[in-house]
This record gives sequence, structure tokens and C-alpha cells, in this order.
Amino acid sequence: MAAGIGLGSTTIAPLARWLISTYDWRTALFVLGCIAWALIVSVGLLVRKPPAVSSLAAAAEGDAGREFTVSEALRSPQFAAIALTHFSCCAAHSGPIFHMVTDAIDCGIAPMAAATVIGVAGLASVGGRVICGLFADRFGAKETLIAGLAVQAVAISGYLFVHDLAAFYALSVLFGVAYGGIMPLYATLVREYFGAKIMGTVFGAVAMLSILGMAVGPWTGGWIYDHLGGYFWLYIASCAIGLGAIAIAPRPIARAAAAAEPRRFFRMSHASARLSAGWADARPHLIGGPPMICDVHAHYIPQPFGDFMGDCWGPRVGPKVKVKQGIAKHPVSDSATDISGRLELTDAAGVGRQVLSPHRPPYLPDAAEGVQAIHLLNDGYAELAHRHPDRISSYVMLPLPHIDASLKEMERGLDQLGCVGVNMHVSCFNRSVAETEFEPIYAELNRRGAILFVHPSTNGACSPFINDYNFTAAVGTSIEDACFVLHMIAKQIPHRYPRIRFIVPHLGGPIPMLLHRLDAQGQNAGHHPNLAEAPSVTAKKFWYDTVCYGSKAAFTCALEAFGEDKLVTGSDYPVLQDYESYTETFAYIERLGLPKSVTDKVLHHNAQKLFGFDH
Amino acid sequence: MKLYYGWVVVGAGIVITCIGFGTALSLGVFLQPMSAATGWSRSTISSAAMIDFLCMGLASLFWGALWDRIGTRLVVMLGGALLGLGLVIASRVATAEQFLLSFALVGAAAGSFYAPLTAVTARWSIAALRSRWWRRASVSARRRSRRWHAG
Repeated sequence: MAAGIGLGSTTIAPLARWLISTYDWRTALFVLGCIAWALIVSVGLLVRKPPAVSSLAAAAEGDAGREFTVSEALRSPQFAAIALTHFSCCAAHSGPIFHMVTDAIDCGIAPMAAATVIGVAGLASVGGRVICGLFADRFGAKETLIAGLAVQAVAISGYLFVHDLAAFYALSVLFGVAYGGIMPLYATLVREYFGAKIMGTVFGAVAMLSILGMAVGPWTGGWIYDHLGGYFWLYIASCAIGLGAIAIAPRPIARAAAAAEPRRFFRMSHASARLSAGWADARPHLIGGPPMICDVHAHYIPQPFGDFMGDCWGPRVGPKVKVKQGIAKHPVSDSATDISGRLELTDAAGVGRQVLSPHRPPYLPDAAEGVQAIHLLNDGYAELAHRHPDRISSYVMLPLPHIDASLKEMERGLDQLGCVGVNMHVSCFNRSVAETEFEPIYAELNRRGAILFVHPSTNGACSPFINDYNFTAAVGTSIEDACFVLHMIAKQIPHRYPRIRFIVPHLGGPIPMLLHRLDAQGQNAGHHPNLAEAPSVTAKKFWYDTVCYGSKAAFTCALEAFGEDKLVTGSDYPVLQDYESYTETFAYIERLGLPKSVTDKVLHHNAQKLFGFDH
Repeated sequence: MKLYYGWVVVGAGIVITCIGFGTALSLGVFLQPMSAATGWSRSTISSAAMIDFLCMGLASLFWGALWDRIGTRLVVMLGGALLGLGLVIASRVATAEQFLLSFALVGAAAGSFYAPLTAVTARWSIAALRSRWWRRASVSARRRSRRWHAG
């Protein structure tokens, strides 16, 4: 848009001049008015929302009140930082944009050639938009904004030294890329922080300040030229204001510092983390807003971990991956776009919090490597959780099958990283985690009264009957869930370690249909005659997440079998998004015709109560 | 290769802001001939530029809120209609005060362009990056919901 502003001064003004000299000023204004009518109204018809916006807007309908309210947004420090940065940024670059041409003419460049200098800057600004978009996607909008502001300041100061046309062109390219690139980032930031719903109002307020900034620049430039006889001080002042914009720009989280001092960083209380980050988004909707869903089964792939594991642990994520496969087609990675995409999807679905875990077993046979991988994983998860303390939590993953290291990591995760539970996969290198060697883990979980979220390993329960027929993921995972429950029953782990709170995914697979049979046949002489408690009693001690691909039969069966207190909301994010929207993964529950009290409990209270979140 | 529609929107955005801001910026050109023809002081005429920018800024608040409700295209077209109206009124004014008032309208109308167009083109560039999976996700979601309503 800055390109349009730049072009505006070079096209409309000459046109107006020509009209005035040919006719008079009244005709000129009249013609300009007619041009505005004809061009803007017709070209305006071409403006369409991008496809992403329309589908999201549709999903967000009926979702009112979950975001910031306008007054909360306008009073937030985030708004002040964005608006002030935008103001100084515009004040800094509008002066040079307007006076660039006259300056070039002063330097002895022919007026027509000088006018093309601004055209070059305008074209470059379109390129800058694309380049900065790519950078923002990779490094985050805040980081890109600061880098762009720095380049802009450098480019402005460069005008002090250029005197010939080629140098003017070169500098204009740099300048154009910088200012064209950073302008859309403000809109991106506003949407990231305040949501799409009130974006117009909030960005309108930001734009108000920026336009004032834009008005200040040229006027000051003119004043400086008249009073000081040159543009020297304009560029100095613009550069200084541009540097000032960097100083007040929304600060990115100090990733380097976090990596260097992980313990101290992660130990910070949420409040101080938010203060020092200045930008971690506080979402007041959790207090007093409509009831929110807590998604206990959601996946996330931090790229450093994915890279470390290599191709055997898919899908690969990151900018180098040309064709996104599997769940990487959805916002699952740690790129800025994916994270904002994730937050948008959760907003639209009414999900207030996700508790993250990996979708595949993150285990390695070598102890040192395994620990290294798990550190990358848990640190990646904790970093996201600390950036969005009110939206994201994580389980701590363990470097199985290395028991001592796992106990150590559990302590680090729960005591230092702020994890809200522990994650294990159903099996580790094809050995069930119910095996005796894993006993110390359960003892420690029990001592802590921790939550254990188990997840299938996608190995088809080691069964050729499943794997050879290609049902490893579609059905094998549910069989694994059932195997976990069965192994726990057989080993009587929930009976011996009663303080552990287990969450089993996918409604426990076939378990809810088998409780009677297990109590009868499962306890006879040939099977498990000496159980301390009936299998159904053990099975009812677990919590089960609601992932069932919208099946009323499956859901009501589990509800009947386990009771309304034992079902917790989960999504398998983003796996089901190949087939249904994230919103739908929870919305089906409300359409099952169950009593309001039951759906409300399952959707808005059970998981929150289990984890001790607000509800 | 089919032209990516995002570029059409970017182009439209540039043309529209070019006209919107260009009218405010070209006021300098009117300074001398207008004061010669009407006898109004130059500072009166140049303060029209200031009023234009002030109103543009203030109005962008209002346009932003309206944009949340009626969408980019309608906001921009409404703004374009008002901008034309403001300029045509300005061409017919009798007094300096009327001229300033008409430019307040011009500025307020121009305020409808900047924020919505910046945001919508920013979203188009993001959409370009993500278009592949977005299209898939929204199509399958739609198919899914249709199935729900059908069955």
C-alpha cells in the first residue's frame, strides 16, 4: 500500500497540474472526483478475501466474545507497542518517500528520471512484501519486523551519501523492499494478537496513528528543506526515528537466551515470563468468558526435533520440505504461520487450551541420543507453552526405554518446564510399557499423583493381522489403546499405583464394548483368576479422550461404559483435519442429543478438572 | 500459468491507495492557482491537506469497525464513492470553509482504504504460502458438514 502512496504523489499530482493548466482548478477537482468514482468503485469489485479468510470466518461465526474485546485490546500494552512502532515507522519513511524525487532533482538528475526513482521503490516494495512474508513465516512476524525496520533505517541513512542515478535506484530498491515488507506485518501482528474478529477495529486504530505519522514525515521534510536548506537533516531525523521504532518494536522472545539458560528461563513464573517477553499473549477470555474446551490430545512437531530424528520419524516439517506430507499439511510445526494457524483454529473451535504431545514415539535405542532428542522435544514444547501460557500446555515426554534418564526427565519436565502431565507411548520398541522394567516410572508417577497420557505407537499392536492388511493407523491404533488398558488390568498397575491418573485416547478403542465379557471370561481360571479388582473396575479408573471421528455409536457406548465423568475432550490434532474441521471434532458431541449437563461436563469441565485448569 | 488472484488484489490495492492518497498529496499543486483564482490565503488551502490527513486517520477507526462487519470490498467501494463525492463537492464550493469541509470528507473517505487493503493483501500473501493445504482443509470441511446435514 505504501507503493500506492508513493505512486499517488507521482501520478496524481502531475495529472492535477496538467488539468489545472489546461482548464482550471474546479475542473481538475471535478475530474479527480470522477476518476475516484470510476476507478475505485470498479477496481474495488476485484478485492476479494483470500480463501483462508472465508473458511475461517465461516468457522468463527457464532463464536462471538471469545477473543479480546475492543476496549481490552485498545488498552493493552501490545496495542500501544504496535501503534507507536507503526507511527514512528511511517514518520520515518514517509519523509524520504515524498522528498526522494526532489532530492534526486537537486542532485542534478533529470526530473523524469528522478520520478522513476520512486517508481522503482514502489515496485521493490511489492517484492519486499513477498520476501518479508516468507521471512515472517520462517522467523516470526516480530523478528522480521525488527529486521525490516533496521534495513529501512540503514536505507534512509544511505540517501545521505548517494548523488547519481544508479545509486538512487539501488538504494530505492533496498528502501522499497524494507518499507513495503514491513507494512503488512503490522496487520499480521494485530491479527495474531487480537484475533480476526475485531481486527478491523484494532487495526483501524493502529492505522490512524500510522497515517498521522505519514502526515508528519512530508511536512517535516518540507519544513527542514525551507529552514535548513537541504535534506541532510531530514534523512538524519528519519533514520533516528526509524531506529526509535526498533527500540519500541514488540520484542521477540529471546530464543538465544532461552537456549543458553533453559533452566532459568523456564523457571520464570508465568507472570514474569510474560513481562519479560512483553508479548506473550494474555487471553482474558479464560476468565469470565464463555466455557472453553481443553484439548488433551493434540500434536505438535518442533522442527529441531524433527530434523534430529530424520526421515524415520515423519512427517518432515520446515521451509526446506517442498511437499508437505501427512499431518504436516496442517499447522503442526513450529513455524510462525503454523503457530498462528493453530491458534486461529483453536479460537474458531472454542478450544481455550491444548495439551501437546508427539504423534509418534520419540524414542531412540541409544541412551545419550535418546536423551538429546527428548530434550529438543520437551524444550520445544515448553518454549511454545511459555510463549502462550494461557493457550498451550504440554506433557513431558520420556527418553524410554532408559529408565534412569526417564525419571530425571520427568522431574525436569514437571518441576522445571512446567509440564502438566507425562506422556508415554503404548509400546517402546515393541515392548509394552506395562512390562516390569517400566515399573519405576509408575512408582514415580504414583508418588507425584501425576497424569499419564498414553498414545499408540502406530505399530499395529505388533500384529501382522493388522499391519499386513494395512490397518495400522485406521484400526491398529485403537487396538493398541485397548492393549494398554488390558495390560494395565493384567499387571494391576492402577490398583497398585492408585494415584496415577491415566488418559487413554480414542475412547479406549473396543474396551467399552468388552467390559462385561472381560469381567466374565477375563477372570476365569484360564486367564486372570487372581485379580484384586474386576477388569471393569480397573478400566473405569481411566479417563478416555473423545476422538472417534464423529461416531455417535462409539461415543454413547463409551459414555455408558465409563460414565460421564470419565470422558475428556481430545482431538488428535491435526490428524482428523484431513476429514473434518477442527471445530467439528468437538462440535459433534453437542449434536448427539445428550442432556445438556452431560455434554457440558464432557466439553467444558472434565478435562479442566482433571488438570486443575480454570473452568 | 494462471495468474494468482492475490496479485490482482495487490494491484487493485495499489491503484486505490494511489488515488486516495494522491488527492491529498496533490493539494500542493492547487495552492498557487486556487489562491490566485479565489483570493483565499495559501495557509487556508494548505491546511486542507492537514485536515485531509487528520480526518483520514480519525476515520480509519470508524472504517476499521465497519470493516469487521461488512467486509473489505464494501468498505472500499463505499469509501471510493464518498471520495468522489468529496472531490466533486470541493470543485463546486463557494467559500474557503466549504472547501475545508469538503476535504474533511475526502480525507475521511480515503481513510477507508489503507487499513483494510493492507490487511487483506497481507492475508493474500499468507494465503499464497499456505494455499495448498488450506484449499484442501476447507473443501473437506465443507464436504463433511454437508454430509452431516444430509445424514
